[in-house]
Amino acid sequence: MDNGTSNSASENETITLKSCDGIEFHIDARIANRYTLLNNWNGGESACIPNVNGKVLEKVLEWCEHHINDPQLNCGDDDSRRRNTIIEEWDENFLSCDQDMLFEIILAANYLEIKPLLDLGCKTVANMMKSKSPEEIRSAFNIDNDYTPEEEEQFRKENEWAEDY
Amino acid sequence: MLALPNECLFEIFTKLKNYNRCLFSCLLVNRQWCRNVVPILWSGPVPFENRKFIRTCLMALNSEEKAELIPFNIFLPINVKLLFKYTSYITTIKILSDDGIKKWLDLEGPPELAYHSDLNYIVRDAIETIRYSLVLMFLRTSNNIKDLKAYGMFYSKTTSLLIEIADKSTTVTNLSFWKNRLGPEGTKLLAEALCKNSTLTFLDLWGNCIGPEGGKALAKALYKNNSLTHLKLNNNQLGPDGGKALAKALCENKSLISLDLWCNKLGPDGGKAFAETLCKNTALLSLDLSKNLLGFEGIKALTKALCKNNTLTFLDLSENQLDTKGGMELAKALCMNTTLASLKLCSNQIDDIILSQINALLVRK
Repeated sequence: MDNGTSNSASENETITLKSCDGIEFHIDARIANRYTLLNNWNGGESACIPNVNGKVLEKVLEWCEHHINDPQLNCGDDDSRRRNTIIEEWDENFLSCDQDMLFEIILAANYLEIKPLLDLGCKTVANMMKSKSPEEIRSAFNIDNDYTPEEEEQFRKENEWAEDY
Repeated sequence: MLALPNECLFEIFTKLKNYNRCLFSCLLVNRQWCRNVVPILWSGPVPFENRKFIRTCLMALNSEEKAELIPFNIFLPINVKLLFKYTSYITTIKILSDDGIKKWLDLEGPPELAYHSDLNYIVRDAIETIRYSLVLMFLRTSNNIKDLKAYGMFYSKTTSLLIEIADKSTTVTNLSFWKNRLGPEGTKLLAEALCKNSTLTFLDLWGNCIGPEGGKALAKALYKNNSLTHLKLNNNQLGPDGGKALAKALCENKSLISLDLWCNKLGPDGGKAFAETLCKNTALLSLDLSKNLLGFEGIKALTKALCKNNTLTFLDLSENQLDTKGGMELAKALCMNTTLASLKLCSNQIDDIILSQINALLVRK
């Protein structure tokens, strides 16, 4: 059975990652082996991951550690994986952090190409938008409306079929 | 909110595909969101039966397409432009009902074309012309259509347009064409298009009165075409001759893996012809010959063929007046065959004991 852990790294092997603000993390080498980019940052003493700070990297690595024994995704499942919005309980708790952290995690997962975590973060945000009006979404995520009133009205009219379908 | 790059936003909105109401809300949040949502929302399936959808699509018609509607006193605004090339994102269209067009006519069309339950011929003509213009526009603007379904069109104008798709499109892989009265002539045109087309993989022509001549034309195309993998010709009065032509073509065709011929009056001769196919063809995985008056002779030939064939995994012989004797022949053949995993025999007159024997033989595999 291939559960995604059958690689060369043994359980005791560790590697060192450094966040952009200089915090070091010693992680199970199997985690890095799963995610190519993490592996690339295993540069020993001097290399550090730009763009990801210690606080965020800690969260990302916590997630990776918890999911170390997950089966690896097949490319063929891509479409269904992307569209499904079901989230497991542990993941839900993990991501019930403040919104800025949630977005930081999404950005880091995107940057580090940790697809399943990116997916999970996107699902969480998607679920937060369900059954909300545009105004409610704007205030929930603190987004400015840059439409002119005429433009907004035209977009509404051209796409309003989606409302009853 | 922390600014997310477009690739992340796109990923988020992809999770909401099919939650159209939610996508609609997201689209109205701001311009960046809108740019990311529109391609997802419009990729479809889009609701051709929805009046508001029709309204937006009508705005996408060019001046020539709009001109088609002028004889019906439908004057669409000339200088109004849509904010996006929405239809360019469509990947799936199902033209299954005129309700969207009817409701649009009723609410936004000229009063004399308002929808009445007793449609007069002018209204019907207007509906057909609108649909024609819309399909014309889809073909012109959509570079991404993969899946197209059309149902119940009784006029040649739109149907010939759809045949054009089979001829010219390099994106459409699935074409379903239900009850469109193609007839032998329309089928011949479609068959000619198939000789050249190398994109289409799935073709469903359910209920088009194809007839023996249409069947022969399609058979001819199957010698040349090597991309089609699924062909459904249910309920088309192919008759023994149409069936024989197709069966012969399949002795050589190497791409088709599934053929459905439910209700085509193939008769014993058609059955024998397909028996020969099964001896020679090594591509076909699924064959539906249900409701075809195959008779004992047809079944007997097919059972013999099953002893030789070792690719077919699914065979439907339901509704063929098979009796217990035929059933016993089948059971014998199944002892020799190693690939067939599913055999359907509904609505025949086979003894229950034989049926359970057959099932046991299938389960054993």
